Amino acid sequence: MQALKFSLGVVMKSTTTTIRKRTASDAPRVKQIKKLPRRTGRLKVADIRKAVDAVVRERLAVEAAQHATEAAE
Amino acid sequence: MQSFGSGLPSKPLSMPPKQLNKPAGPAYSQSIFINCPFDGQYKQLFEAAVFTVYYCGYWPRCALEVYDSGQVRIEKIFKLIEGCHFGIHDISRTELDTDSQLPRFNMPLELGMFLGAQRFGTGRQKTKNCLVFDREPYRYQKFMSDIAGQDIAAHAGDPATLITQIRDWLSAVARPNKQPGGQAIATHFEAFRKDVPDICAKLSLVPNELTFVDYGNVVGAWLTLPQFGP
Repeated sequence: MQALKFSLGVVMKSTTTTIRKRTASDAPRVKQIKKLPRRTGRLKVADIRKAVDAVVRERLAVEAAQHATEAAE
Repeated sequence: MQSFGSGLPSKPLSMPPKQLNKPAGPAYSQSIFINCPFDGQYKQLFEAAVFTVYYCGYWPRCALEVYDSGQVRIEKIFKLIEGCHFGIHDISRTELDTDSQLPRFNMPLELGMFLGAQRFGTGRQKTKNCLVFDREPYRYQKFMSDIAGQDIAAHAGDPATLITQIRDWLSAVARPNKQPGGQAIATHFEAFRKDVPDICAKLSLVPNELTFVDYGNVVGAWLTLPQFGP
């Protein structure tokens, strides 16, 4: 019984110590992680729209210029 | 050079631009589950299918949406199938994988899941409708004879044929939508493909780096531009 109590006490003490230690040591790291900018990995839809808009407008302008040249000839 | 959109109605898309940006899941009746190979060999057909689905005013959904997350993949695929009224399934990839020398069974499995939901599901799941593709007509009877009796479409590896089949199927089974014919959509798809490298360059990407979600956003943005105006 004494041995059991002793071993339980050791386990509980060590567990408590581990939890306390982990909490204490990890706290600054958690704060650091929270401070990092969040990245989703996806492109912003607004950026995609801008890019698509620019490319299509450039192409349409080239086509219009070609049509004008052909008409002039 | 040809100018595009001459045969298109002034509003080719039934969904407004704002809806394309919605992060929340699309409506059940507007969602189409795309089940096909995702490798480079099939890429053009896959992109043609995605383009056509957007063009016809629907939302493409596929397993690529869920591959990057840590959740159990099959559970997410079940969720995707549950949330889609329509399905496009391509069972044409029957070749052995070059590395493993084994066939890929994901497409037949996901077709089975879809048909199972349609057969055993309740409520709106009963109304599911799907289009099944193979490369050649009647070829599927040699490796999946149990689905003989269903209408299986053949795309012959040609994006224009695939586009026409999807467009005609949607016109038949979904809400009638004023859309041009399949050949006109295929012409627009070719024009879009020519624009993609320039669009990617502006985004500091190469086309192969576009994810499924980003590709969908590019298609959506391209289709809502006024180039299709009267």
